[in-house]
Amino acid sequence: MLRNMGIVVVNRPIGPDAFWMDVEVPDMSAVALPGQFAMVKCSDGLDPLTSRPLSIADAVDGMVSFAYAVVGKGTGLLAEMQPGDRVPILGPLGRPFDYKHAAKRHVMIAGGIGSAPFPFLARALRDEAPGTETVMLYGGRTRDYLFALELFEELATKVETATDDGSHGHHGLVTDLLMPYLGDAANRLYACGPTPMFKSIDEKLEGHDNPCEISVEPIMACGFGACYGCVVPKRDGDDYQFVKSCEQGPTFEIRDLRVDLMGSH
Amino acid sequence: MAGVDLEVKLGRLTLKNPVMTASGTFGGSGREFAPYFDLSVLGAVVVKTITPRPRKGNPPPRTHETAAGLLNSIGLMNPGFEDWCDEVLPLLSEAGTNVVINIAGETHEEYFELAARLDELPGIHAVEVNISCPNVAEGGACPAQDPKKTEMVIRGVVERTRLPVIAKLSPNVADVTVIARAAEAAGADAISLVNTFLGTAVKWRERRPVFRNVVAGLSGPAIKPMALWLVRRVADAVSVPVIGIGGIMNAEDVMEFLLVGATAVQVGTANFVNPTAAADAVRDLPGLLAEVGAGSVVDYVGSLRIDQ
Repeated sequence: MLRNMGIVVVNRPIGPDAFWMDVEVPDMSAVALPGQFAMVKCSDGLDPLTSRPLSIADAVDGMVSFAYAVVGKGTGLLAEMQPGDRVPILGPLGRPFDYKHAAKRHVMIAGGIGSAPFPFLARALRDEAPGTETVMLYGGRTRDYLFALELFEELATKVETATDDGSHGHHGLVTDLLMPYLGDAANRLYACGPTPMFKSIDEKLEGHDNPCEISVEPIMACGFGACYGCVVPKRDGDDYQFVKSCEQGPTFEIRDLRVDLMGSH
Repeated sequence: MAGVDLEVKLGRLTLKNPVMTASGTFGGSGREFAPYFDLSVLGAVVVKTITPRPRKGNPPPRTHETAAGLLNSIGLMNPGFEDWCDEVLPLLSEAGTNVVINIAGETHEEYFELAARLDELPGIHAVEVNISCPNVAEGGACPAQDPKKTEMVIRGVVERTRLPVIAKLSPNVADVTVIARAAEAAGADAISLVNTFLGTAVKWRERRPVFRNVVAGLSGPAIKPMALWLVRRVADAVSVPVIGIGGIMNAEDVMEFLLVGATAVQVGTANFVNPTAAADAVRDLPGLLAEVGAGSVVDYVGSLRIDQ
């Protein structure tokens, strides 16, 4: 966990209201792991007050990258940043994906900007588990919302897409593409996207043993365990307990969470 | 600056400097901040509120940003006293400074039940009684909205523990000085204020509230002017020391609260924005006191000059 002043190197649009940002922040780049996140301060002033939690989309050569959607004032200010601007960053934070296991296939499932953590994971799998098949199942509203699709086509061994309007790939939901990969328990799954996508995956996994880690994206004020705001319901026998996703997550085995109780903000 | 005396006394509790952390903003034990600074530089660490039994807390969303402020509806999530003693208490000795436990109950009896257990806890230097959390009771009600209830709860706690007692007041009352006097009469060593202001946020397109409870508590720089005013009023109304809380981001904000009469302060929401906010305030305070020619914190407290 480091506090650093990063320097923006690249900040370019990758689709409607979505951007890719490369920040020069060598200390963080050297230690970040796929699935971790960082708290990025979008303004020097008091409004917005807190930082924004962003998935680390890649970390290589002294850079930390973020793929983010503009959803409010903070990310709006972030989108206006120019190369050379300084941006305070706290991180890397949270539990990385538990991907260093032998698997027949690693299957990443992303909805829209939920693809943010996956360039890093796909590259790590390519470099650290050569010869293993890595599949990206990628869904979005339209082709335009399949952000950085070319990057995934380069990093993953196979990309399957789904769009709501049929403008690219399967006409329907990304989770419609999942079933063929659930038959073999040696396939490991990783997912990030909106809560309804998690609920769909949770239902489809019933009766299957595939490990499946999801990366949750709740509202966070601090990112390091102080505020108790970013909780998710974790299974506790027949009951559940709220746990801080900044500390115990943001990646969780989906069966450890009560996905059915998660809100859909 | 080496000559500036930072020590302050809150009744029976002595702090090496006036900077404390505010309950609920410093993790569960403060260990969350240990990677960022040495907690022993602080005047005191105030832990997250403990209740007799575990509380899951409120369903998300629990926080929402507003202009220069933060609404929260956490709901006093905590493991309950027994598990807290096993899991959190042992971590507190690592702080290396005063540790203030913070307690709350849903009934007066629950406050008393906890108060009766405090003297057996090692490494605790004072108790702050949270009679002002807006996120646990119906419509944001709490003992700190009624002078009689305030006096009953604080007196009951004072009678059951040898620890110095701090009463944490709510700003959501017509006249906070009435409540402050009740806490003083009940034997509180010090009074801390403000807890969060009641507020809400709504989503107009969906016609829905942001929070399940509708109401939430507002903190951050947005509330500082109101907090300063209430701290000044209470400091004028009671003779026990006052701990100022509300939107303190840095040492200059600390100076403002000292000036209107606070003997000590608590840094809250700033901890979320900058993990070293409280430590930075401790570092910068001597220079600001020296700048105004104050030889000590005590010299400067309440020295606001008003033309008649």
